[in-house]
Amino acid sequence: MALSEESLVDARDVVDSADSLIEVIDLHRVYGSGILAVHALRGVSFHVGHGELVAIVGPSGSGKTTMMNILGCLDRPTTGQYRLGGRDVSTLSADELADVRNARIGFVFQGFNLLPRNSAVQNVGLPLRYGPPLSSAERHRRSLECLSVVGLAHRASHLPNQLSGGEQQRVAIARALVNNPSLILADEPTGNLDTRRSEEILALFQRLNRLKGMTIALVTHEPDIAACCRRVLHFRDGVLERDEPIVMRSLDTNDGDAFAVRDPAGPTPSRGVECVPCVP
Amino acid sequence: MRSLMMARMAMQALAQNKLRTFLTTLGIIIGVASVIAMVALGQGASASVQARIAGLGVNVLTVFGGSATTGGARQGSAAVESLRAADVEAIRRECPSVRLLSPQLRRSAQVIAGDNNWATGLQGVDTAYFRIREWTFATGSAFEAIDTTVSAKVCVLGETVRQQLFGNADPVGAVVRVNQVPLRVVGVLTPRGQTSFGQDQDDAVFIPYTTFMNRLYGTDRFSMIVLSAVSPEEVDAARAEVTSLLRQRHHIRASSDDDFYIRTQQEIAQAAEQTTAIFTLLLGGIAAVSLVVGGIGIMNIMLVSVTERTREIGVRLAVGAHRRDILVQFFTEALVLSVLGGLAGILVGAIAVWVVRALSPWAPIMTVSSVLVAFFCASAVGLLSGYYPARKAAHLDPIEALRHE
Ligand SMILES: Nc1ncnc2c1ncn2[C@@H]1O[C@H](COP(=O)(O)OP(=O)(O)OP(=O)(O)O)[C@@H](O)[C@H]1O
Ligand SMILES: [Mg+2]
Repeated sequence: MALSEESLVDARDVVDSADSLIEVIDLHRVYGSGILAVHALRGVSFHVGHGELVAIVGPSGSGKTTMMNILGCLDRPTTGQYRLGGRDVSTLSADELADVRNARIGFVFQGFNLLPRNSAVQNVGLPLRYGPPLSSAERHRRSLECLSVVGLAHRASHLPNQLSGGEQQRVAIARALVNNPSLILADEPTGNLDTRRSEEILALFQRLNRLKGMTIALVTHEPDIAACCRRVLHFRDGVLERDEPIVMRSLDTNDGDAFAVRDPAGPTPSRGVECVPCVP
Repeated sequence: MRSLMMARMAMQALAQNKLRTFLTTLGIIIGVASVIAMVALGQGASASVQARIAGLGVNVLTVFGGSATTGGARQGSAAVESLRAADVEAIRRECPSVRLLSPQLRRSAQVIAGDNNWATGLQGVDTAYFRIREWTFATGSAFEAIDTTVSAKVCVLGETVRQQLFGNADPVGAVVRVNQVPLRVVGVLTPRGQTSFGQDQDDAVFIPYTTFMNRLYGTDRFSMIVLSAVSPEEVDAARAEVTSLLRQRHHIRASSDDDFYIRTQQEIAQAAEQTTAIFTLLLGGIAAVSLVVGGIGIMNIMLVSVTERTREIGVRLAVGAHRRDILVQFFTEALVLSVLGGLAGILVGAIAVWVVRALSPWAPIMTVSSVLVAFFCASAVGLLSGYYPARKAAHLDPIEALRHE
């Protein structure tokens, strides 16, 4: 994915200057107040370095989505600190947060959350509309490129309801990739998929992680999927119960499964790394 | 630049849901169209009244029997028949500012000519009546002064009556019958068309007032005298002379009110114009209400659309939309809806005016100002009713919006 790197340089410099991409310090999140208050996160601390591939697991209601929303700058912690790229997110204005979400973070939602009246390629291009100005031709080109990354170029003009669940999920992933973010947050990206589709998506994540150095955090309920990451964070009742590095089960075969990270200039690993500025 | 993009996205959203867009704008279309059509109708009416003021002799006065306070500005037949033939003679003799005068009596009557018959207005007048009204003849001429003296059985036809009774034939010399009385046709008037109230002026038969009173209806009183002053400047003098003469003749004491009243043609036309102005205001007001209802329609649909699209808004916020972007997008949708509705409304209004022109007795007048006012009102209504939903959309919390079912 070729990006106009110049336009994003400033934002990236800020974020990429730190050792860890993500620093979470004693984070609490309380929904509501009084007797109705729900303590979804109660004192969570961890770091995620650049280029990590992390799985977040835990029983339902343990605070995984809450954690992801905060990491994705969609929500703010009640107390505690969240530093993204060395910068305390709580100091950013609403518009600055929106810009960070736009340029730095690709979010894959638990539901697909595609716009129903927009075609696949329009859905993928949505974040480009809120970023630095681009011609519609350029937006279309980049969106199409990301669609082909997830192997859906041939479905570009289909509406979401004309796509299978797995295809919709891949469109949502392509949308998360379109601004070439340094951080991808995926909340149960394989929740609706069968094993084969799930593994295709994990293979894609592993490839993006390896070739482009993208930092990826994904929530999953399935041990098989968590096993495809390098580190697992176990949540329970709003606390980080266990944080363990694991040996990754690699699905990333270069002889190309359903989709591959294609680069117009040739899919050489060095180039893939080169265009990801978050890897020093 | 960024706002331009949001505006484009708003257009896309509208294009993606054409039926909703159409139904939403329908209220504004109807509102604008009816404002334009109604105002055009009203203005056409008042213009035709004004044309009549210009067309009627400026020195014409009408004396009505009855009192002005109970009668107001009555245009047509006055109720109280307090005038007599002798009054006419006295005015003719003693009022130097009056040039011509004629009583005017009216009844509806069935006019028969051979196998044809036609219900029309029978009018008893003096031969001077045609000169007062500056009414010329298509064929034949007015009856003579002597015809009035002898209650001659002659008549003058209006064009409509001629057509109904004689088709294309020339009726001069022919005989028509009213209440068994045969009347010889001596002339046909040139067509005058309709009054501003849709009354056909040509649907009338004129006979000498003496014939009317003595031979047909056996009455010696009437309720209207039409007269003309010697010049427009003498209108007030004529009014004063006639007033004092009639008071004296009718033995009215200084403390009592007149048993007649006098109106100049201008006063009558002005009263009519006042009526049409109220009429225009009323029509415009009703139309304006429909415009506001149209605006509420936009607000309603926009609010529904914000609720319906809460998830969409959440997605947009999540991928980097600023609150302002959402505001601009939804606000633009409302603006485009109302502008589209306004433009379509102008078109529909113009078509309505065109149709009404073919059907109505007076030509509606579509003025640029009514079009502009309607259009800008539509836009303002759209903006006002679009702002609240747009603000509501922009202030949604992204997480809440995404959780919305
Ligand atoms: N908006 C909210 N208002 C009130 N309580 C909430 C809200 N969102 C989440 N919660 C509560 O916070 C707790 C953590 O929710 P969260 O969605 O983070 O769980 P999760 O680990 O993602 O669960 P799942 O695996 O089912 O998705 C739950 O008890 C939930 O009921
Ligand atoms: Mg969840």
